[in-house]
Amino acid sequence: MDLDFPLWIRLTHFFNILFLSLLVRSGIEILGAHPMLYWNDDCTPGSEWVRFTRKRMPRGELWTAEDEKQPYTPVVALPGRDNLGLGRYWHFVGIVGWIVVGVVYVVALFVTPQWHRLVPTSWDVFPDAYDALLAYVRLEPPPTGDPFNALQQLTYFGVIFVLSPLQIATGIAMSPAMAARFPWFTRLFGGRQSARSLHFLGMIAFIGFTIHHIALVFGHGFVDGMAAIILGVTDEPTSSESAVAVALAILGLGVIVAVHIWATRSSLLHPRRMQNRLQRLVDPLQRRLLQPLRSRQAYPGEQITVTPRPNGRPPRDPRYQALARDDFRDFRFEVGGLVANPLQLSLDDLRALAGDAQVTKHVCIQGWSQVVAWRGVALSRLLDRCGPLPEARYLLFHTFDDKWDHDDGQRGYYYTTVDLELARRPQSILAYDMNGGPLPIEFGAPLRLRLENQLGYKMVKWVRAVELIDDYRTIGEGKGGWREDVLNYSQIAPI
Amino acid sequence: MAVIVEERDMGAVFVHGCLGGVAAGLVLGVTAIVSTVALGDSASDPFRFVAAFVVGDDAFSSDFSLLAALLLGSTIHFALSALYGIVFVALLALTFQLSARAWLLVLYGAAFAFSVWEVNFLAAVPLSFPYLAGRLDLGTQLWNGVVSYCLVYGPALGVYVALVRPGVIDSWRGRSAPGGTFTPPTGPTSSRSER
Repeated sequence: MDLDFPLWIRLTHFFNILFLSLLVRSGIEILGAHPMLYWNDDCTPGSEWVRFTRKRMPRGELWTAEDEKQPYTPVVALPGRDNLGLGRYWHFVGIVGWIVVGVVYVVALFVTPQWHRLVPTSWDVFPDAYDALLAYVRLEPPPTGDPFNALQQLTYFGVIFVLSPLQIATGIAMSPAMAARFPWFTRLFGGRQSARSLHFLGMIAFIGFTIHHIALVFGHGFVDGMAAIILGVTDEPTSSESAVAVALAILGLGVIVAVHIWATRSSLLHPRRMQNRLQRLVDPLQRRLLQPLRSRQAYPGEQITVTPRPNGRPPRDPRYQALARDDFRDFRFEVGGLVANPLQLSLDDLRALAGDAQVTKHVCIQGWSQVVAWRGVALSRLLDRCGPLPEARYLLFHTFDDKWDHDDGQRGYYYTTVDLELARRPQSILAYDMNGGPLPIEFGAPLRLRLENQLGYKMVKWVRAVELIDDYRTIGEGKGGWREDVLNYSQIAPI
Repeated sequence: MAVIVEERDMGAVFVHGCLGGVAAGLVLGVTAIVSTVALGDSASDPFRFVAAFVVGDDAFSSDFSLLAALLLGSTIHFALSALYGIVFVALLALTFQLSARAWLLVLYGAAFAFSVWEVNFLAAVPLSFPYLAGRLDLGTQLWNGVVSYCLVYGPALGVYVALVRPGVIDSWRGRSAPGGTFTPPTGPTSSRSER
């Protein structure tokens, strides 16, 4: 069968290079936020199998996951310099583009005879691939194929139909919303951290494949290869066809490099503008696809992490210090804003309400996770008592967290906003107990939020009050939370 | 809070890359001689093969003395070993892997050596020294090539880095688990009474 290179193959090949390169660079940015990989979901310090950081954390001092971040250079990471928020946005944009290109490619492959180039139809492909491998090793001309030899066919088939779906699946398995709704899916990969490790190894496999692919293009004849994949010329190209193909190859590579330079520079110089652009594409998708997933987590007690990580340093706010010294006896949790019945509740009042207990997996946006038992009051119960007014759409959580350790404390108090619908779900609670005891200060005492299909930054610690509001765009810098404002995160965090 | 960081001194990278490369190259050279003899060829063949990079196919003629083959072959072999050793240690330093676990360093070494074998045997020989291509039969490629590189040269490089730990602060050595302790912060009490 004479298979050529139709336009759709050539175009999808180009966009595949573009989106894959965006995915790799933004993936490196995300890795830098917690540059350790594990095979266990407890992420106990020292249990990682590999680390990509020059930092070694001190013993005997409080440190947090924020301290472990390893900023990478913008030369390799997109955008680099510790920009997890925008790195994630770029990664998700890359995923959307890559999947669209992949779907177009696979559909076109199977509605045309082109699938013959990739899909083996005989078991002979394995001995034939071995023969081709030996030919390469013996430095002999490899067997010709139609259009690929058996080794090429098996490799391309593996990359497109095994490695690529595995990357997509392990990426989805890292979503806290997905893991909360379908825990079995994450278990397929051995857990959340195993999925993260496999995702990383998949990236290494892609890079290894790309290097060998390029080397073999040169080995088989660079100009002929460019003429085929750019112009669709499969016979011996004329000299002018060769010249045009090489020129277009350089031009195409230049376009991809230019996109990377623009994306990196714009993200570093105008992060808010870039956040606004990227979230227009990404946020509606994650709001539609992942945010609706409801948590069904119920981990057995023996899976509770023995040494959970604290994250974030306790507030230095004098009000908080005074309350903490007295074990929060004078603490009053305030519920106000767009409600019919404003509330002021002590910790004893909250404990007097029927409590909800749950053992769930905490997933930090940086990458680590741990399993913790929580007990607290369901937000739905509080909402029933205060009576939200019809125009109320969000819960605005105020905290004592003065972020004194961030930019000299000039960024204001930590806050977050949560959709009313999410707050009403089961496993959306204000926790006052952790692992069978009162919530420790370093984990958010007296109260912390738990929204079990979200990433950790939405689950604010040291909660002071909640206010029901109709719009968050007039608060802070209008992005829906402290991290959303300062670090360019998304207002929703299901992945 | 005192966070200590891995040092990336380019001088240390160069020195230890050279030393590690030469040490690994020595082990590889011995392996190549043994496997060549085991395959039924002369023990001088590896030296002549490398010397042929400079003098061409004449390196295999009886006119080319054994001493010349030993000198030239060893010099080129160790120079390349040192060069690849520098590349290996530099790559580890660039990717913050100088303090990686020992088994991982051995694995990195094997993977790196596989790449070196590809560059040397699948690219450099056919492109730059085509007159040597005919001497690379399957047995030679297998035992003097990919097996020796991946199971000897690379792991030896990894073991060298694991033992010497260039660029790693002394106090890190010998710690199997870097770890951190979650000591209560100063300020409000962290241990709260049961209610």
